[in-house]
Amino acid sequence: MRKTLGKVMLIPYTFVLMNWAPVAGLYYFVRGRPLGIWNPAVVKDT
Amino acid sequence: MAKAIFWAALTCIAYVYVGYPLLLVLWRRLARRPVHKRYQEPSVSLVIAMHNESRNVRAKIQNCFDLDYPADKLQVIVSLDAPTDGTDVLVRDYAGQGVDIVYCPVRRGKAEALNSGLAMARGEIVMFADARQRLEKSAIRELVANFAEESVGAVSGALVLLDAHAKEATDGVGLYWRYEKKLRAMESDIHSVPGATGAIYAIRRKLFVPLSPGTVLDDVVVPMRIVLGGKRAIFDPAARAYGAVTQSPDSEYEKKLRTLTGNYQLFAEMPELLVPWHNPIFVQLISHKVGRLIVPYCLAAVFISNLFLPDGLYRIVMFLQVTWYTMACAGWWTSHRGGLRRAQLRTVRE
Repeated sequence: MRKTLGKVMLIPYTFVLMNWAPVAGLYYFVRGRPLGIWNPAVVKDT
Repeated sequence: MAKAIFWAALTCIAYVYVGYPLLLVLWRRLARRPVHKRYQEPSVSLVIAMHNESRNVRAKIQNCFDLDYPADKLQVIVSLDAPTDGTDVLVRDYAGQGVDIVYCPVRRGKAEALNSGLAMARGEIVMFADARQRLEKSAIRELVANFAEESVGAVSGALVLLDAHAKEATDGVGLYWRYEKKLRAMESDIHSVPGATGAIYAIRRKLFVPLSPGTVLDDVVVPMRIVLGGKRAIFDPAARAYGAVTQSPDSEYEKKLRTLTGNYQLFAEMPELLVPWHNPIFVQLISHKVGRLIVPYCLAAVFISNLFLPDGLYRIVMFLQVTWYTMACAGWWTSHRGGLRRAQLRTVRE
């Protein structure tokens, strides 16, 4: 029951997170820090 | 004023997630342009760009050897971008076995690695793949069969996300991918998809234009250039690659962030995409790509305008929104509980 509830809670969290991404993406783009897969200017190494 | 903003923003969100798919259903019924596949064996160059892939490189190259395609017609090119984890040492074992290696000691990014790989390609068709996803045996055959039609310039395969039980993922990200593939299939039937799947796509080599350094979304830039050039970029779900579904919303967020940053870069570098008479899939691009960029601002507009609309139906909508975002906070807490607990324990120990 707790596990199912946890999974249900993840749906709105995922939705908000996925919708935050365009806002954060615009910030990175405007600051000139594009997140390439392994670009030299990469912010976080994958 | 608040009412106008509320309804305009809500309409925009509804169009992106519901209206556009319905429009595609209707559009496809009225103007379907099916591609007639013909199985053939043109020469193919399979380009895989890698940075640090020591964990995947052996399996990937073996996967290429196992593909159902004549060895004399398949050139495998591994383009190494300054690996630091020994990927280059592992790849060199395959140098005498039909794998062409491009090595760059200075890190220049994926776009430049692909350019270097393409410079070595001899095949009539160039296929792109990632190191981490496994290609289905018939993947090349299925992709190249679409090039029998002269109007086709690029073909994207489908990435199938597998869960821990090696079955197609059906929760969260897996469901999103299924929805995405349905959209792509419909867009492809009408004209073209506004972007391919990086893990599996192919183009006619003569149509390739070198990528600008720092290009984030090669799998969107390459097919979109082809579409602007007058050819079609289609989606063929019969050509498949398999990958593991991301286990947490946070790791999916990292991917999404990269993709969306790449979309801003795409529009800045190719503004002609936003000109209806230059772009034959203008409606699809605006609805699919630009729409996703606008939705968060519409969500904020719906919430803020709703604060000024306290009556009747609006009160219910406000209640639903507050419930939804409270659940999102609870989801965040559930998702990070383990990490928070570990941090607390570390603090106590210190």
